[in-house]
Amino acid sequence: MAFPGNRDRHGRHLTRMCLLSLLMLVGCSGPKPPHPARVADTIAAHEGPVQGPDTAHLTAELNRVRAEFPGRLQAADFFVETRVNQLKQAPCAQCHAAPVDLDKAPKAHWDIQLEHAGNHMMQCSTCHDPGDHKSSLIFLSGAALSMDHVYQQCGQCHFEQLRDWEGGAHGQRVAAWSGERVVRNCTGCHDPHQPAFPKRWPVHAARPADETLPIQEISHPEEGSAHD
Amino acid sequence: MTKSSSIKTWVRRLLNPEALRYLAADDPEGDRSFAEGAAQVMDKQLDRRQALKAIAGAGAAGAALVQAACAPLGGRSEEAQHRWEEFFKKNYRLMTETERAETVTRLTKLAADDRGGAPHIQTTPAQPGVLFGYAFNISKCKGYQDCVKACIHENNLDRGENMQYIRIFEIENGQQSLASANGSYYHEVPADGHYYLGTQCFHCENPPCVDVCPVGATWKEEDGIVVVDYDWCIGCRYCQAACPYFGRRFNWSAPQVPPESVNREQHYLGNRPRKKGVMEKCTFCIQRTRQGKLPACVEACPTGARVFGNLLDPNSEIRYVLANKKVFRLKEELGTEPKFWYFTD
Amino acid sequence: MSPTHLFQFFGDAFLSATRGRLAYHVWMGGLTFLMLLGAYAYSVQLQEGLIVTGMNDHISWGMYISNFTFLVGLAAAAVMLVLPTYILDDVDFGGAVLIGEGVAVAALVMCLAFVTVDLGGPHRVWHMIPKLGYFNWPRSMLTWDVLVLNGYLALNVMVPFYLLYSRYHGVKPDKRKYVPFVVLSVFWAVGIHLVTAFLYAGLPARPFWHNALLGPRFLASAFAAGPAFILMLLGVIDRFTDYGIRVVIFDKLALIITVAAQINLVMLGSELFVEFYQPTEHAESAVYLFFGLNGHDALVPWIRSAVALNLGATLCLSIHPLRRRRGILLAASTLLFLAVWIEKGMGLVVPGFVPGPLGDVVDYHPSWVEIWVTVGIWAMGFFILSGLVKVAIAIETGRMKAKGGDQEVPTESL
Ligand code: SF4
Ligand code: SF4
Repeated sequence: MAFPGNRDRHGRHLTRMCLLSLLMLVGCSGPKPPHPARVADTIAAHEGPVQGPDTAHLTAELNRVRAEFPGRLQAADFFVETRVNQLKQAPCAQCHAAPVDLDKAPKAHWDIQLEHAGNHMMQCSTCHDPGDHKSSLIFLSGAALSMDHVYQQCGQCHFEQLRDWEGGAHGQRVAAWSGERVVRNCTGCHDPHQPAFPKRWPVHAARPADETLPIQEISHPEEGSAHD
Repeated sequence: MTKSSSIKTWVRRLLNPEALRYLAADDPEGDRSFAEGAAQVMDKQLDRRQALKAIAGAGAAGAALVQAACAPLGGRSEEAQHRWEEFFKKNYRLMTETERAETVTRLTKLAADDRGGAPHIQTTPAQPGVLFGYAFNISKCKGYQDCVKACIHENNLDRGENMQYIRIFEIENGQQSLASANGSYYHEVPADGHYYLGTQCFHCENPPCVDVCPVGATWKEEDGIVVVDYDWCIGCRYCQAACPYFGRRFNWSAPQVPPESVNREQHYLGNRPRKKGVMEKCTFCIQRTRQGKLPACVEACPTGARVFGNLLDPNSEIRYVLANKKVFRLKEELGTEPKFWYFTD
Repeated sequence: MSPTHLFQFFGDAFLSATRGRLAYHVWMGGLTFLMLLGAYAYSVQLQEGLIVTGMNDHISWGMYISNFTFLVGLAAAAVMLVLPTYILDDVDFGGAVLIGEGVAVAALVMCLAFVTVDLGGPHRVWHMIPKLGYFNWPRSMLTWDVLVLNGYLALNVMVPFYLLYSRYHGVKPDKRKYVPFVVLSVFWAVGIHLVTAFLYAGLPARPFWHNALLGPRFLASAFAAGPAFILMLLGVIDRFTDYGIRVVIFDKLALIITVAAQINLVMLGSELFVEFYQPTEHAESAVYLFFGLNGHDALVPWIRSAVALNLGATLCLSIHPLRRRRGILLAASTLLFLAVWIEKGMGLVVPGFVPGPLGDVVDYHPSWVEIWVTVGIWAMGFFILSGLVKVAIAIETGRMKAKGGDQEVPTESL
């Protein structure tokens, strides 16, 4: 950018301009190096006794029982949803008085397909007691167990999941994030006979990002349909 | 605060670049200055009204005319007046409790006219000692999208444009980049050899979307929720450009929600109906979570992939996840500090 | 400046702007027609919402903001004339500088119009007025932009008004009164463009924009395209009015354009090197722009022609014998102007959004509503520019002057 005859005056102005922009930049950033605030620091600075909203009314209606961990002195400080009151075919003793022959085809339980770690490892009798039906569920040791505390049974093998479930990384909390902690039992989400989640269609179809629908083509499907 | 002293504070703040950076409304300092500004505005209530009137002189005359003309219709004129007052109301953060109550009453009446049923609009404030955080288990998510559906219903999202806050990405095993992910799959899930990752607004601790808004229509609340004042947003979409996570949605047209499926339990900063030309986003279901409930997505998830809770409570589930699982966040290098972590079993 | 004098001035200016040859009337009539079309398109947009544009959640800024960005550059470029004329006492530019400032005013009005039509709630802009609403300054770069653009508009209205008004009354303008503002406007012009660049460069979310070279490149391309436009305009004025433009002005402008275009090319080269030598994920926007991504290549033909035009025009301008030919100079300027319009408009704004932060690749096609609104605003800009230039020329040539004023004002005083 040369202006004949004006070289040095032009140069001076350019220097001034540079100086000014430099000053502006310094002014913006301040004397200390800027760094983003960290969540971890916020947490460390403010964590403490919790005054969450009152949620008693949200959990009041839930059928729940305090979680227990055998061998521990203290009871757990959270609750699980109960199971017994949701089942029709339990306890076994309400139908079965005599021991069941497991080789026969299951009549009343025809709909149960066992797909849990393969039949050489898991059979009906791994978790149920077909002998005297004192209890519906048994530990691997044969000791009786209430359906409400089924997590104890699952945790015999799935101890890592049990640990995470107790802490809150596995499973699902019910109703409220604050106040009394009530969580789903293992069987609240998993079918114990087929614990893997099934394949199915998503309940919602996302609109493709690169597809711009003309307004009139957008339909308004009924509620509850697959393409909600 | 007297006028001269307020000017002095202002000048001091200008001269002190350190303080300049804290003019932010989301840190306590900034909130105070904001509140002081509010107090000033409040003191000058009358001037403000007069100024507004002066500015919209012609409009005011017009509205008065309309009002007079509709007077025999009773309800109509009241509605016109409500709409008028709605238009000239303040930024939610600057309102006093009474003003908030007034606008809620107006909105309730107007909404009742519009949609045939009065909503309940809360203004529940943030509770002290609460900072919301979220974790998402990518080993658990199966891509069912129950969360998406629940969110759409809970938050009265625009059905016409098929808007959704949550997106679930299907990613091939062995890949990590979202660029190779499929954000609009529709087939039986979980697909073999794929895993699923959900995104939404991450309620960044340093939200760039808040910094850029020219009118302060979006801000971070004390409990960490980033909200939008739908009636204050001018629709410049700068925040949308600034968000590194595609967390914001714009109402390109007037949103359509079938009246019978409107969720009437609403929050002023949450799921109350939006209008065309304004920005909206996930609010961690502010209308639910400020009452202690779980967000709709967490509740709807059939696999328990979603964990929500109070980061300031050392015994909360979210804190357990942070302390015991391997977690990561998207684009941590940007320094936005999302309060949304991903983890694996 | 008594009210009656002002009244008389504006009356005369109005008369001067509304009278002219048939061609002038046809031109202004055509522009009015286009403006009306644009207004109609805008009314449709107001009615339906921004859904009638080609924008969406993925590409949330389109043609409007592209044009806005480009026009800020055009406005800033007026400084290339102001700087030498007023400060360096380089009187060669005397006549041209008022034209340049007219261009700045028209460009700024267009900028403001483009931002306004881009808003989802234009009736709520009063939220930005401090005290009435809330002005998020200094945090939001957009508020900075609002300030600097309006300030620059004021400066560019004030100084020429003062000069023309003095001339109209046959008074010699007082240097002490206007030179400080001129100096200010020089810095301000750099400011408006840098601030507009920072609008983009301040977004780490968009790697394509988050780049320190963006500001300087904005300036370089603006100082090429802006003077190129002024040169075209001067060519038209020289040809169709009795207001002669001296050859030396063309030569100097051409030199400015050439150097700026060369610098711009160097920066483009540097950018391309960084993007493509070791392409990272952050280079994907550039890949999208120049080659297309996942079968989406809406911008490829545009940017390639822009680069070709840019190279061709710069080459033409760099060769002295070619540049000295008026026809070639004007053609090269036009090409350069177009090239920068593409490159800094759509070629800058849209790829910033592609791929999106979550990897979405979406093409952007402006809708007809958008195109017509854009055309309407450009027509408005030309309308304003034509009027301003007409009045300025009338005053400069002494055809419009206050009755009884002293005519003996040397041109050098401008
Ligand atoms: S994810 Fe985006 S919208 Fe949400 S707070 Fe962060 S920057 Fe803002
Ligand atoms: S779109 Fe609304 S919320 Fe977003 S930056 Fe603009 S005014 Fe603020």
